[in-house]
Amino acid sequence: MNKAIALFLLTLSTTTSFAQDGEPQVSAATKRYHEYRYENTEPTYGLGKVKAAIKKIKRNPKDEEDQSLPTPIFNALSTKEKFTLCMIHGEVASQNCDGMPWIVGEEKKIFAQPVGFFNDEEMWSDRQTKFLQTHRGEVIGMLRETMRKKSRVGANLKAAISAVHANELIPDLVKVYRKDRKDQDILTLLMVLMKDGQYKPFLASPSYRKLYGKDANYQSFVEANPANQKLTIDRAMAFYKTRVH
Amino acid sequence: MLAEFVTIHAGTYRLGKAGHVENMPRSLHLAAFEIARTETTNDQFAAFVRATGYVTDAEKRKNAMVFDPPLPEFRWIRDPSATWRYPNGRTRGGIEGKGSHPVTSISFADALAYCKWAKVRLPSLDEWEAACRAGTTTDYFFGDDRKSIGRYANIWHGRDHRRPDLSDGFLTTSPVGRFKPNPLGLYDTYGNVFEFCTGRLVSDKASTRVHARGGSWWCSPNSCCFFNSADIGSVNIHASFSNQGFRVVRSASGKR
Repeated sequence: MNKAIALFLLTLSTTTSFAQDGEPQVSAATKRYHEYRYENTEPTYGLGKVKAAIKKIKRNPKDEEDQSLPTPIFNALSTKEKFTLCMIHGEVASQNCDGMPWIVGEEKKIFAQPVGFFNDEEMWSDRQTKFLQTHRGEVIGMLRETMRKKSRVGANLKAAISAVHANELIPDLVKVYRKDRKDQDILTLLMVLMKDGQYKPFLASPSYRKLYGKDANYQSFVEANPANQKLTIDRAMAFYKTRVH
Repeated sequence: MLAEFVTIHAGTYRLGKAGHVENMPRSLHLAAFEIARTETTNDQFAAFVRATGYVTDAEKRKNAMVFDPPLPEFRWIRDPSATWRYPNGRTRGGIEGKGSHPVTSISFADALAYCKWAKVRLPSLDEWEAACRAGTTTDYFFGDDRKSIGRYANIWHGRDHRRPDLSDGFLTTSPVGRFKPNPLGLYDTYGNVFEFCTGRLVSDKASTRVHARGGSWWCSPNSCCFFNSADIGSVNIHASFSNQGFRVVRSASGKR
């Protein structure tokens, strides 16, 4: 698709519609979608064991903010259990400004970044991040299996895919997206992968300028209309072919 | 060493921003109060610690989150050596010569302890906004165009956080009052440090979630842009970050 057509197809708007009295019109659909964006997808590997270990730390009232598993317990977890731990629990508190408020018409937008995971209240500790990176191959396998089993890519899985630059999962992401075309953050994730992969056709696109250019921020978006959906998927699949084959 | 205060008169204030679901446009009556002209400094916090022997959350729990570029966006490092005396960890230097910088790497709970000792309190979310807005209804007290932000606030001007940004002279905090004040004479309401406020949001689920406003030296136009009059940040009540601090208020006893 040439640049002119791409430019035409992209409806790039930062305006938000408001009621005449100035109050935002946040529909029930938007509220539901906002909650949906923050949902996590739980892996099944050792889930009961990992949840029990987490429950023990959360039960300690003196250390309500210290969410780290004791080192011997962390070290004793298998690779699969460590993966599950990373997907359902962040060991350190996160802060301040990375949480996104409800946005009018949120369900019709492809944002520059997916929402944070763990409701923006926790994030991975250094050892969790290191685990994901050093076990990248196995992690990608477990991410794929979890996505296929659950037909869903929760905020936690998206964060992991982004963290390990799992370009190998692009066809899987597209497959889940096409199921109901509901989760626009999957398209966001595809764009993040292309951006991080410095994919030149994407870096030269109007959507890149809008989402990650000089004037962009974490709430920048493009409309999730059929043309933008198709364009993003086609471009991501082309990127995938350059990286994986 | 005592804070200078500015009186915010009792009255009806226009708060919030259209489209901001957590902070909807509204008019609200507030009783008079006095708010510190600047953020609480290292010197002021040191006086509190000297007088009380108080030990902060970060000192007890070794859980402070620090910044040391290059880092990806919104990524912080947990550094057990970081405390208010060494806001970004021991290896990155202490607060010697920085007595007039805002205290950081303290938690909301630490700020409450300071307030109790100093016989002051934290502003509510509404009080903070009324004081910051100074009667304006725009995104910033200087209008809607954020191009002027650098005159009023110590923020991050870099495109991302992979390279240090010293373009305004400060990598992290600046001395309080270094940038231009708002029309009421309050300094650093935007940038320098996020300022803890009391109050809850509709989205709050955990009782341990607290809020802070005004953005910080870390915030950039390309990340969260929270250096404005409307946005509200969130954090765990016991978490300590090197871009978090506070400003105090007190009742305007007998003043209108």
